[in-house]
Amino acid sequence: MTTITVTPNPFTLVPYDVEEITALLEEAAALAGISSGVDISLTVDEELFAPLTGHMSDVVDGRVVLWISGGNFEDNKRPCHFSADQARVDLSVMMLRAKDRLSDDFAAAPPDAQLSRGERAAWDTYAVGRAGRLGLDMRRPRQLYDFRLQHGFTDVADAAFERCWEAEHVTWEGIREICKETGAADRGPSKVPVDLLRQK
Amino acid sequence: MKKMLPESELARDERFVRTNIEDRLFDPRGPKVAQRNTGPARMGVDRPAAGERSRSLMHGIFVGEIQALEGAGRTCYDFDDETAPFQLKLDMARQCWDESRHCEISVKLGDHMGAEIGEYTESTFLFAAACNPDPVLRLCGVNRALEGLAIDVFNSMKDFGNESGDPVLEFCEDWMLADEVTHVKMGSDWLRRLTATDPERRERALEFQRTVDAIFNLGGFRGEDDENPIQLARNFRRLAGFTDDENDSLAALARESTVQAREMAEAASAALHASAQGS
Amino acid sequence: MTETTKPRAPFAPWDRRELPGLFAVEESARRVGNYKWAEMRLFEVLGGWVATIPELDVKLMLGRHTYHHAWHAELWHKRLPELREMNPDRLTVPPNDAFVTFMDAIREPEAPELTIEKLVGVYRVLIPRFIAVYTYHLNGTSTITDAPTIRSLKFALQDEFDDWRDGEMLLQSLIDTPEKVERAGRRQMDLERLYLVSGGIAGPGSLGEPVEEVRVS
Repeated sequence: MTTITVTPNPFTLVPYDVEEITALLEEAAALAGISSGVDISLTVDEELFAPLTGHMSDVVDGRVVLWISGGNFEDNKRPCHFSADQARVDLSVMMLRAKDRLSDDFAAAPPDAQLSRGERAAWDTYAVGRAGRLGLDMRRPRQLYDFRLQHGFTDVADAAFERCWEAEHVTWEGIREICKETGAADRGPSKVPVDLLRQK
Repeated sequence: MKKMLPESELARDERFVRTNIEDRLFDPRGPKVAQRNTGPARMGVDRPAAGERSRSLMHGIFVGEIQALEGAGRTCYDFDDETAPFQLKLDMARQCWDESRHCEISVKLGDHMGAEIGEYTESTFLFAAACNPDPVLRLCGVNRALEGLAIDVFNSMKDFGNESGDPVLEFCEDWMLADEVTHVKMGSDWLRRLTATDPERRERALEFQRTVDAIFNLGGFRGEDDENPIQLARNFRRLAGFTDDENDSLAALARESTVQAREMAEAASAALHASAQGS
Repeated sequence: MTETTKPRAPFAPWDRRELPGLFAVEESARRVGNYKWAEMRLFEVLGGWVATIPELDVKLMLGRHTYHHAWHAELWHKRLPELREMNPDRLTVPPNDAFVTFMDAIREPEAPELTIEKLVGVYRVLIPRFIAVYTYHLNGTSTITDAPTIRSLKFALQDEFDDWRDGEMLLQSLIDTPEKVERAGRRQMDLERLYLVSGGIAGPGSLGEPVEEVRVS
């Protein structure tokens, strides 16, 4: 039996519906293949709006702990309004990454707040590519641009992106290898904390 | 076809969704976010949501270019030969072509970044500057204020392209920047020529420009500090014919606008807090 | 070693240009003034329409073409003083009132759903006539005395051909139902009748001998 908790409940700044989000989260967990019995908690920061987007997927004591900006759920065409399509996409990517963390392949991966931007971009690409193959409407050019921002606008980076996007199985070591290959690993630490939006 | 088209009648296909500044101003999340550290406003690969913020800005540039094209086009049409000299209309026609290319470039850059046409809302307040019935005031609003803003935006985007190692962005922004400098020069030249014997009209035009500039500062959108996403491009502005005094006063106006935005956010936040305690 | 003192003919054997032409200075200037007036009215309306057209490809094309026609107007504006007209505005006139009526009709559509009507007027009626009247002038004027006009005509014609093709292709892609075919046909017919009454961009005789006065009820 899986317990899903969504915070806040209820939303007070935006008209988002906890039940709808819970249902979408269940759907995303099933799509990602999260075993039943794994508890999931999702915190939505309803103060944030698009384009201040971002999300994090961690596993703490066997529980999936998720955080997402309210901007990720926002319909770009109708500010303050919930977009189920957008939420479905982002929750699925988050759950795929959570599934990775539940496996031995990513046991050594640090929490999302400690990942470098390059590592995160590579891991996201791996998750977004899989989400697309699972039938979700993912936008490759968008992911490619985000990847290039962190790995460079080079042929080496594009080839690495291609591998991440197409991969069915990547490990944490694989992600780190990709960062070495593109040079992202040589970049100094980010001047801005990667979880800045999460910090209130 | 009538003269003077209101901004509400700008024609768009079904992908475009229009919004207005009030939507954002009265968004209850605004004051909350204003009190938080969401990272440097200046564009950079290290700031949170760098990709999404770039896409959103690029889409804003795209719709801004459409409106600049429409504004220049309307100046060709709205005035008779006596009100607007032939050469002025020729300049506006040239600007139509330039803005048309900028639209094309922005679409391609949007593709490059993974944005889609109509993905974000469009605010038509830029076109509003192109609705003034006096051609001199319109030129000041469009060619000096709006196109001046374009210089700042393109320079900031060019810097971002350089910093992120994105050769496509840097290349395109540099070309667009060259055009915008030309457009501002046109505005400055026509202001001088058309008001050479009418200082009162010149002052009115400059006042209109200051009003438009204040709107374009958009509550801290443009300025010279890290909290301004778009940086004032003093050197390119100088090339375009703005004097140092003009740049200084624009910078002061931008600082004022940033402070006002901060104060408004604090006031709104206090009001929200008070109403939450009362309920 | 090149022989520098050997006389050569001023015209190479393949240069068949001749002195006589159809137009005297005054007539050439009159026509050029008419061209400038028509090009001005055209670039103004193209610019004005940009904001009223929802189709992005059409919108951007008009932005480009606005400049082409403005540039033609500028070419004619600069040519007029060279044709002894020191006050270019004096000759920057329509050939007659009927042509004004025709141009007013071309410029009339405004609503966003009237893109076909806008484009038919420009690309199926007016620009083909620019091509015709410019070609007539090009073929008829003296290739030696009026060479500067010929050079401008060639530049303008190149744009007209390119612009006509751009506009016609967009029209073909927009006209996708029998109803739209009829709309386009009706619009073209209405405008052609008005054009006929005017006699053309340079008035009666735009393409040669004046035609007989035509009455259209």
